[in-house]
Amino acid sequence: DVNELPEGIKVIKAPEMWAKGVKGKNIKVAVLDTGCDTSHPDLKNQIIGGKNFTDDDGGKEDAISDYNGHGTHVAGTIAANDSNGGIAGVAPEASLLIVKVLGGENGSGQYEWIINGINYAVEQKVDIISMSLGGPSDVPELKEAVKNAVKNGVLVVCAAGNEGDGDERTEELSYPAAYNEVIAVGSVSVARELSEFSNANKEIDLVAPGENILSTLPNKKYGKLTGTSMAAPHVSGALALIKSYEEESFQRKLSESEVFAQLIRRTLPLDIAKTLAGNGFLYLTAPDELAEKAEQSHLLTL
Amino acid sequence: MENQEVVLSIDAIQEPEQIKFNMSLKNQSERAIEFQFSTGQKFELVVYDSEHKERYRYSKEKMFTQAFQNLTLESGETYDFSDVWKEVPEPGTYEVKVTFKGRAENLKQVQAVQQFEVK
Repeated sequence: DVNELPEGIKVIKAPEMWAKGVKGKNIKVAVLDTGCDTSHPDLKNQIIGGKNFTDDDGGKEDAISDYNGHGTHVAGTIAANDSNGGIAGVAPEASLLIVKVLGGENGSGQYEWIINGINYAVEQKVDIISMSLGGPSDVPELKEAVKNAVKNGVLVVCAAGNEGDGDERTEELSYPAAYNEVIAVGSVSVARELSEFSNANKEIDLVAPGENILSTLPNKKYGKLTGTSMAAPHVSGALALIKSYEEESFQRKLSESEVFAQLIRRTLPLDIAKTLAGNGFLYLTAPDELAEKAEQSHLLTL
Repeated sequence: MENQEVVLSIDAIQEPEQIKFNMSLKNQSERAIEFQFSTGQKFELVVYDSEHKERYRYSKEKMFTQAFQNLTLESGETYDFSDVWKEVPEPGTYEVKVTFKGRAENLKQVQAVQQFEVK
């Protein structure tokens, strides 16, 4: 039963983009996480390289083993490819750069590692940086690294954080998600109901599925995880699809803010406070459905 | 349910260039307890000096995964964890407060406070 389409991929309407031939080809996504099982059959063909910034394995630069499982799961949601009989991520032809910034079995990292990882991803000219992580401290050097990435045209996606209490009036801040420059992703169920744990604050941009998400795990395994960590990679993968599709349509490069506008165009408004759900639910076919609806009402009034 | 069913102990050890904290969480109840963590952060550890000024915090400038994790502690089982403060402060009395971030049904958040001497 492994060869199934994860529910989250389905409800954000990724297969409808694949049907147009859009699978994220030539888009580079840096996954800043606990490393990755680079031999996983669903991931190995998508991984183009990696670097370790943690003190795991004596700090060896090319050691990107995932001792937690989190990074392998996140990478799978972005770009797993089911051609070997496994599961598919949102953008099954996107390229993954594995940037290990969280170490150990628990999956924690120093701010310095994350900052170095962001700068490395920018140097490697990735299109998207995906960060399913967060910390309590607002540090100027971290903000500077994020701003520099965006200035270089990189889309920076972050998990909103899991300290939420379901109350739109109380704020929970997690960094780097709380910086205005990043795309902060909150969590909902596949039925678009708000996840109680999802952080509330004025910088939430949109929500995506983050409950019981099926994806890849180390040692050829699969499993379900829950958290804003699982919501963020749905958006990172979606951005890979959107960027490749829209740049082809417009026949030119789009800036970071233009791609962000295209992302928000592909959301569904929800009856949830904007401090919790931002612009709404990631829904890749939103413009198509709107066009169809408008066409129908046009025919009726004719 | 009372918190003595789960007991958290702290051992602070002064080494030449750092202070090491060894923690141990023991399930003294008759049943298995399932803890849930909302992030990769398993605990918080804060050190205060004799004027109750915060001198060290485990989570400061640290990032964690934002996925839920579970830990089941069987009856009589112990979960050990540790932290290192890579500094030795001036001699005196200090207080270390540890909060276990795992939440379990019908159980108050597990905390422990311990005083220790730096020579």
